[in-house]
Amino acid sequence: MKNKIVYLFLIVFSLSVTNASAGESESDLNKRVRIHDLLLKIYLAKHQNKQAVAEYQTLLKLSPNNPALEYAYANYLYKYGNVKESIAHYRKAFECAPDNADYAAKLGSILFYAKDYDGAVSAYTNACRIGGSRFQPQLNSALQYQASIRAAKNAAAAAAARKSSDDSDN
Amino acid sequence: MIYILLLILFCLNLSSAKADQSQSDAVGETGSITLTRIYTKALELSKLGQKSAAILQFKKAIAVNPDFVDFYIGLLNASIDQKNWSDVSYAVQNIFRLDPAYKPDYTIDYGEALYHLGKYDEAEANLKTALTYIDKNITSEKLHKEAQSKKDKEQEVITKKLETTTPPPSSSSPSQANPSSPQANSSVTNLDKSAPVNSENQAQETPKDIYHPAKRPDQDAKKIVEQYRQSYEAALKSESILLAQYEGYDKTDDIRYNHPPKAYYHIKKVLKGPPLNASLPIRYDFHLPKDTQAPPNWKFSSDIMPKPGSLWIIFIENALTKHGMYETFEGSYGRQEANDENLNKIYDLIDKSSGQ
Repeated sequence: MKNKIVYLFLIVFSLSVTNASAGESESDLNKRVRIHDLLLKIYLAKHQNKQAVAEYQTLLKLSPNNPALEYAYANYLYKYGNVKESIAHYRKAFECAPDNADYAAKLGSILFYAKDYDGAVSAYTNACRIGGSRFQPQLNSALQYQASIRAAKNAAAAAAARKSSDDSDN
Repeated sequence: MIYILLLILFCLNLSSAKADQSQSDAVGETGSITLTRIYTKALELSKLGQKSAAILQFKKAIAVNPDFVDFYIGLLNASIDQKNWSDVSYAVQNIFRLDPAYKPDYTIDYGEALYHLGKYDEAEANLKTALTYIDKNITSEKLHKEAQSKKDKEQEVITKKLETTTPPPSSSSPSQANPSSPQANSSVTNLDKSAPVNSENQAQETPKDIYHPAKRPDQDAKKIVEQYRQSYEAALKSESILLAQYEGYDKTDDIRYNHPPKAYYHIKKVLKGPPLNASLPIRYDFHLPKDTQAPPNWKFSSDIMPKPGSLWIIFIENALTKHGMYETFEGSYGRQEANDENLNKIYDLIDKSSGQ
C-alpha cells in the first residue's frame, strides 16, 4: 500500500514536471490526455492501427512513466507481432511499477516465448519475489529450459574442443 | 454530550433550511420562483450526490423553460457522473444551441458521449476540434468576450445603417417644415407603406423624428438586420467555411419544404475553422430560416438539387452535427456556388478578417 502511494505520488510529480516544462496549464494537459485517450479508444474500435499507434505514442509523451499505458501499448504491439518493441515496453512498464508482480510475470512469459530463457528466469524471479509462489511453476519451467540450453551449449563447446584437440594431434 | 451535538446539528440544519427556502423563493436568473426552486433543488441534490434525482429535477426545469443554459449545464454535470451518455449528448447540444461560446468547455464531453454512443466519426471530429481549442488557446471566457464585442459592433453597424439609408432632411427645407406637403408625405409613405397613416400624428411629428432610428418602424430595422444576416460579412462569422464538392443526397419519400434531405459533400478545402471529416453530411435546407411557408405548388424534385461534382462554398455556423447532419448558416444562404466572384469575395473577407 505504502509503495502504491509513493508510486502514485511519483506519477503526479512527473506529470506536473512535464507539464511545467511544456508551459501549459495542468488542466490543458489533462484535457489533452483525455482527448488522446478517447481518440485511441476510437481508433482501436475502428481497427485503425496506424492512428492507434500514433495516439499511444502521443499519450506516452504526454504522460511518460505511466506503467499502465506502457503495459497496454506493449500488449498492443505484441498482439500485432512487434515482439521486439513490445518487450522494451513491458520492461518499461515493470521499471515504472517495480512492485507489480503481474508486469514482471508478463515480461517473463514474453521473454520465454522469445526463447530468451535467461531474461525469462530473471523476470520470473522478480515476479516470485514480489508476488509470491503463484509464479513458481513458470519460474521452474524457465529454469529447466535455461539448464537444458546451458547443458546443450556446454556439450557443443566440449565437442568443439575435442575436435580441435584431435585435429592438432593428427 | 451526543444529545447536545445532535441538538446543535438540528439547529444548524433548521437554519440552513430556512435560508435555502428564502433563497429559492427569489426569482433569480430564471425569472420564475417555481423554476428557481426546482433548479435550486436540482443543484442541492447534485451536491449531495443524488445524481439521478438531480437529473429528474433538471429535466423538469428544462420542460418549463428549454432556453435557460444553466439547466443544461446542471444536467450535463449530473449525467456525466452517472455515465448517462445520451443525456450528456442532449445537454451539450442544447448548451451549444443557446450559447456557442461554451464550445471550448464542453466539446470534449460531447466527443466522449458520442464515443460511448458508438458514433465514432462524429466523436473523432469533435475531439479534434477540442484539441484545436487547446492548441489555439481558445477558451469559453474569450469567446464570450468576443461574442459581446461582436454584438456591440453589429448593433453599431445596424444603427449606422439605419441612420444613413435615408439621411434626415435638413429642418430648414420648406417641404419638411410642412409635413402635409406632397414631398414630405411621399417620403413617409416610402418608409413604411403598410403602416396606417394617421394624418394627425403626422402633423405633430417632425420629419427628423420619423427618420430617427429609435422612432423608425420595427419592420425597417428588421429588414436591415435580415439584409445583414444574409451577407458574406455575417456568414464570415461561421465556425466553419469550406470549399466542398456536392456528391448526392439521401433519396427518401418524405422530403418536404421544411423537411429537407441529407446531402453529401466532400470537403476540398477548409477555408476557416477546425478540421472536419472529408465526408460532409449537410441538412439541405430549401429556404432561409424565416421563409417557413412553402411557395404555392412547391414540390420536391431531384432537379432542385445541385449537379453532382459541382463546387460550393459551405458556411457552417456551429461545426456540430444534429441528427448526423451539419446545419448551414441561415439555411439555404449557407450554400453558395463556388464561382470566381464568390470565391474572390470570400477570400478577400477572410484575408481582411485574419489581418485584424
